[in-house]
Amino acid sequence: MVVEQINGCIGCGTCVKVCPTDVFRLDSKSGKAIVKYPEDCQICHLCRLYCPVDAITITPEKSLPVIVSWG
Amino acid sequence: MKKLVEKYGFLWKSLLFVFVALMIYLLGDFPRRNALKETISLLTIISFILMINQFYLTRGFRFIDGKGRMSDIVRMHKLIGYLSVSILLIHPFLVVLPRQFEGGVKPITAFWEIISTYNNPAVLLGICGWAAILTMAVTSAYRRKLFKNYIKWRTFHGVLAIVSLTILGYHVLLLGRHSNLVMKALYLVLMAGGYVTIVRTYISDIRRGDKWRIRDSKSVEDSSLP
Ligand code: SF4
Ligand code: SF4
Repeated sequence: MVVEQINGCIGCGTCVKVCPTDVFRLDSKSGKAIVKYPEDCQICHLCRLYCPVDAITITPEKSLPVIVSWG
Repeated sequence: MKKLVEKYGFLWKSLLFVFVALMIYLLGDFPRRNALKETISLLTIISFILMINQFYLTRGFRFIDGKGRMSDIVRMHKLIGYLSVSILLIHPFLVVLPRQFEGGVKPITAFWEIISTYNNPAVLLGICGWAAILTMAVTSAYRRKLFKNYIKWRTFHGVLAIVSLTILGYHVLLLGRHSNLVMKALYLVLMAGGYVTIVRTYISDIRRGDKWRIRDSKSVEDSSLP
């Protein structure tokens, strides 16, 4: 699985909204994000970068360095 | 050195608690992030453990603290209290600080997202706990102005400590990035031990107070005898 762990999720739903391939869902019981369709992940890192509490960890071996414009 | 160990030997519990928490952090299967994020996490874990440890730096434990004097224990209780409360008070801001150095969400947006999310009770508990420890810090700093009676102050502080730690503990159990089963067990055992001690101390205070009241009233009766 590419999304390795979700620790400390506050259930804001940002990852659900930003993921281009619709990998996440909010669990109705716990109110936290769950990886519903792991096979659809394209390793774009958007979920990790936009999670306000930095809860998402992506498998390091599968990660490419993220190129971000500076300034 | 020997004198120092004798004077501050009572700190062995604090060091032991921090050591156990650090071991759990090191040996646990937690995702390792960059140095800044890990330092912030470690600071928070240590501060929370030290907050629980405050229950163990009180009168209830002085009998097993060897040669430590109560005045030294109180001095350490104040120092550790102000330090750990300060770190816990800035914790919500520290959590979003690393975002300043990354792409993606900016700290201010992340912070707003956090405090406006109520999908589960964890954030609300965090806000309430934050307000409770702020109250504890302010009332401690202005205790002489706010409380004329020492017993009233002590009871207020003890009850507020129990309430704050219960709220914060629940927040940590629900949200803590490093709250695996072992860490949760450590927090719960330490908190339970602290609560039992403080409640036991207060109950024995009340009993002793009753005894004195009975003795005093007897002596008043005796003195009224011709
Ligand atoms: S890395 Fe990209 S594709 Fe994969 S879960 Fe996150 S947002 Fe979705
Ligand atoms: S963005 Fe982060 S905090 Fe928000 S739901 Fe997703 S994992 Fe949880």
